Amino acid sequence: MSDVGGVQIDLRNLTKRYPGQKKPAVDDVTMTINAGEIVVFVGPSGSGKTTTMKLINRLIEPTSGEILINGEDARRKKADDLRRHIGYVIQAGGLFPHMTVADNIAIVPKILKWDKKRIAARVDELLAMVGLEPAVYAQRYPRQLSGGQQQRVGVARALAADPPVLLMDEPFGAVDPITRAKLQDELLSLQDELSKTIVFVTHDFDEAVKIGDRIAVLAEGSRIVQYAEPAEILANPADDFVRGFIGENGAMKLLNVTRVADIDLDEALTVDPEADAAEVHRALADRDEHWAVVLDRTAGRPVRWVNREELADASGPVEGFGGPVDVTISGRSTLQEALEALLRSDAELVPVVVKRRYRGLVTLNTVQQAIATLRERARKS
Amino acid sequence: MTVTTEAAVEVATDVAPSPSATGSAWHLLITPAIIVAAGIALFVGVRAAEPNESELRSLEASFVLRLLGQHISLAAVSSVIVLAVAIPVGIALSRKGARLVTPAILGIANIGQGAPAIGVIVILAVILPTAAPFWVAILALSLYSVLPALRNTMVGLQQVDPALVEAGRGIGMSATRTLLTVELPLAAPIMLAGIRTTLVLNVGVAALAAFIGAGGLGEMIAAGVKLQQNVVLITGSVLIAMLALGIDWLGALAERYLRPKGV
Repeated sequence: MSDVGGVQIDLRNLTKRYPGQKKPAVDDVTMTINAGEIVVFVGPSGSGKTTTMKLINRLIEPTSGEILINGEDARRKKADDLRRHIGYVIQAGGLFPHMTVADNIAIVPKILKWDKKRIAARVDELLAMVGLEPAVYAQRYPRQLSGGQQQRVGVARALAADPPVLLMDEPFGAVDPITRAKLQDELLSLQDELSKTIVFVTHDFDEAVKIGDRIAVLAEGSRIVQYAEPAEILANPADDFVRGFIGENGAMKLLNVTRVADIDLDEALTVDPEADAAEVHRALADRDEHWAVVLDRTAGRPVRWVNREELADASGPVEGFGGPVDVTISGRSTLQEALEALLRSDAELVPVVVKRRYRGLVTLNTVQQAIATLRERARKS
Repeated sequence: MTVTTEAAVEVATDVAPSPSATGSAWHLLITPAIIVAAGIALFVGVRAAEPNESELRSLEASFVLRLLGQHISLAAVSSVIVLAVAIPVGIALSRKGARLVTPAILGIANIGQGAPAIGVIVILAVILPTAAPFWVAILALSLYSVLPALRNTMVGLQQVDPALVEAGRGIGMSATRTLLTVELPLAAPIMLAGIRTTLVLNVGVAALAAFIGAGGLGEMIAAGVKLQQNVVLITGSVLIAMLALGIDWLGALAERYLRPKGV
């Protein structure tokens, strides 16, 4: 829809000090937010995560330090102009109740003096983009929408002038868990399309893990305790503060952010459907393995399982033995989904298929090994 | 007259928009019906009372119309002044930075209204002996009725969800644009309730202008009391009440139809 994409944001020694308060609310924060990434600020209330975010669009003026957006000093621009090119989404959307959905979305384009036709077309485009039928919703008032719909309109409004940067302040905090999960998924698929630079504030670590390309765990004074990809934070939390934030089941969450394609898979003997059963039996005995995968000859897709015991004293093509492969998983699946597939099927192994071709196997042991390796790798880096 | 003033003061303490601004519209017909009924009753009553010659002179249409005109201009001019002062000041006091002066200004406005209206008018007339009675009356009326409009402007703006104001600023609306397109529309129902109260107060209290020679329908009351012409006294009182009710009705219409949609 847009080829603008995101831009890089650099915060340098950013400090916000309120008069009459001893400790700065934001204390000397320096970080780089890569173009096109979703960076989640996560931390307990009072950590200064929202304040830090509002420093970026200067809803709060920094006491000192630099904000570079695409290399340009944000503090040199007029604040209102700056904000017209930074999308801003707050909890429950922050829609103006006395304006229709269309009017809410059209605010920034109107300020930017787009012509009426262009604005109307953009409003329809955005509503469709966030999954709301323009003909049905454009002329409604916010009160006539559900919480989730209001939030979608809030996102549409923020995207109206196609800003490269989007700031989202606990946007999904006020909706029920099911709607929230749906909105998160929608944001991710929207981001696949738009690749904006998104700064997302939440106190919900699970949300951070799900949404973030990178997570900044913030402590009091917006001190960056750890700034890394979700998997790394889960595999190797920097300290007890981060560990406490992750909670008890960090390993389970790690399963959720690791993709099958990124781990070392198990191997098994793969055979042609017309291979001789006796030969396959011998090969399995040689390798001291129990299972072989029969691959479709043309596509390389796993079609049958055969096991060694079954093939004892057998003859003829191997495709006459064993059972069909009923569960496979894709390389894009998470380890949690792989585990789920293992537990759901009776087999001890689940074949991994990437682009319809067999790539390897996942067993309980594979998953365990993968977690151990991730931990090891995170510790070394 | 006293009835009108008291009713108006009661309304003044009511900060929230009156419930008549919501729901179905049939009740909006009650007030005009009462006004018409009062007019008819007055006409029939005066006829039946068989006024004597001097009373008839006081009830002459041209004379009554002149007083009515004076009364309306007293109320209108003071209302314009009050709104011209109360709305900008109310907006200014609701801005950040004004937290310190707000209590002082509200205090002064409270004194203006807290003092008895007749007292304010007479004291001002004594303090300003050379000023035209009309303008002394205008000043007194303005002081007396500024509070509801001022306070409701402030309260109306203060009750706008700060998150919405921040959302407006956050997406790049200027402070002025946020005020004009977000804050004022959302504050409108409460502001209109205050303005309505101010207008009704002005109509009612303008009756007291007669005591310092500034004219208005109050003169009929004053003359009626002085000369024991009950017909004149009652006619003046009923006319003022009808006028106040009419203004209140216009206020109710404004509250109902100027209220932002979607809220």
